[in-house]
Amino acid sequence: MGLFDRIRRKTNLKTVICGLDNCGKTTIVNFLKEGRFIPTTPTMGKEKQEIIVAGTRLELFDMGGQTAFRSIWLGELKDAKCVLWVIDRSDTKRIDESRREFDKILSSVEKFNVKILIASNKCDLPGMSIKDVIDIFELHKINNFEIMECSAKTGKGMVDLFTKFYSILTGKLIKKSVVAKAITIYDNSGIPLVMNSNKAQADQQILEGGFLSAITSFANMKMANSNIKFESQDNGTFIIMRSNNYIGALLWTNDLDAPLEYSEEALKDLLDHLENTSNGEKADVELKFSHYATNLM
Amino acid sequence: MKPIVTNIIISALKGEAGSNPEIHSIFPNDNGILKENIIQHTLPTGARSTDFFDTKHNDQDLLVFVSELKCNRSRNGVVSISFLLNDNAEKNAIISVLKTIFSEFHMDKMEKIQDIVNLAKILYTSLNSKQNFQFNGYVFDIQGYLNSIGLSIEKQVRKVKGGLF
Repeated sequence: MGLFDRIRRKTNLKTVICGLDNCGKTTIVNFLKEGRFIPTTPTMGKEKQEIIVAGTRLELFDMGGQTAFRSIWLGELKDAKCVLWVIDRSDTKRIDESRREFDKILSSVEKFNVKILIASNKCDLPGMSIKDVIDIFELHKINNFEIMECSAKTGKGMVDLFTKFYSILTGKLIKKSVVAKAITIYDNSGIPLVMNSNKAQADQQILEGGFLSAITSFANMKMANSNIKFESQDNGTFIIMRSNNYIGALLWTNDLDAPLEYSEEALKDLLDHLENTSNGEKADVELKFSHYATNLM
Repeated sequence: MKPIVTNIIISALKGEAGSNPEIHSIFPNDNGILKENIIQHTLPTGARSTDFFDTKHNDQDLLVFVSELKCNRSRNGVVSISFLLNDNAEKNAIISVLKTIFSEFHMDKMEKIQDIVNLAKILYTSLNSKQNFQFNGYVFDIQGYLNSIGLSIEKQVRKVKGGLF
């Protein structure tokens, strides 16, 4: 065994992601890796993904959820530190099946002292509450578990899920970065669709007022996927970016945790996310944006 | 004359919740191939759309092309189409032919597994008879393509004049 193998063994932060097929395991992994929703196809067998956070390598084993692949879950548990059990909270018809599969891994989880984090996914759809899930799974009988709601489609609760997941694996706390003072999404012609500001009304007025004319000019430029940046002495730096159907404007200031480049990247991810998830109608953009923005501000 | 492709196996995992891998073999000569082996080979771990695997099954070359399968409900599925080659097959030429066909002919637009099975049957005949591949109005001149890249899908036996052999 080489030195590198020893180091790898010591820093083993392996997580096995299990749950029924179509509950959103791969979508969660993709969201954690890419920061946005990416449509997926069913996972064959298992797929190993790695995420490096603050110099720590996290290994995610995304297990196929079809009955044909469930037999391989147990084999991955013996050297895992955490199991992320994903539930489709909107699928009440299959919740008993999920419970039965969960019961099958419990003895191994206890034997190998693996921690359990339950993600009650698809919270953008109507479905079971956390209390319902706790009752159905009889989680009060288990010592070592955490449960959180999220939506890997809209992004709601994904950063909270990740920070919990990270602290289970590493024992360290990770702070959520605030990347913007304000974010506004416009349609392609420059009409505002949705706005979010973590400061007072004044910021919104800035965005709605003189700034709007700049956006309208930008919208008229009709340059595909172009982006611009300009500094305002009073407000900070505005980043304006275009995707196929939206224009996004982000206000960044020096006192934010995130560097400007990180905020630029975040705005790009947000626009990609909206392109993938929203049908373009104002109410839908508002919903998808409000869920996603919890990760940014 | 020996066929170049001995079997084509289609493995599909539909996007519907609760679906399991479905396997079709277009050639009846698959009695010795276990279902588990087929899944392992033709739907390898972590297979994703547009992946290509060049592997072996019982010492025979197996070329696996993975694509997306359109599904009406839930999300899209994944389908693999695998070609089991005879020992007289020129693997690189066949890979080149199939990659060209799959890049031009959009298998991912197909909605039914039966359509892919039908496609596989025509591919099987076209490759073994070296005739044009024709499906849903798409035509690919296999022999013309091979001539243009200077390859043959069958191993060439070199004839040596004289000598003992």
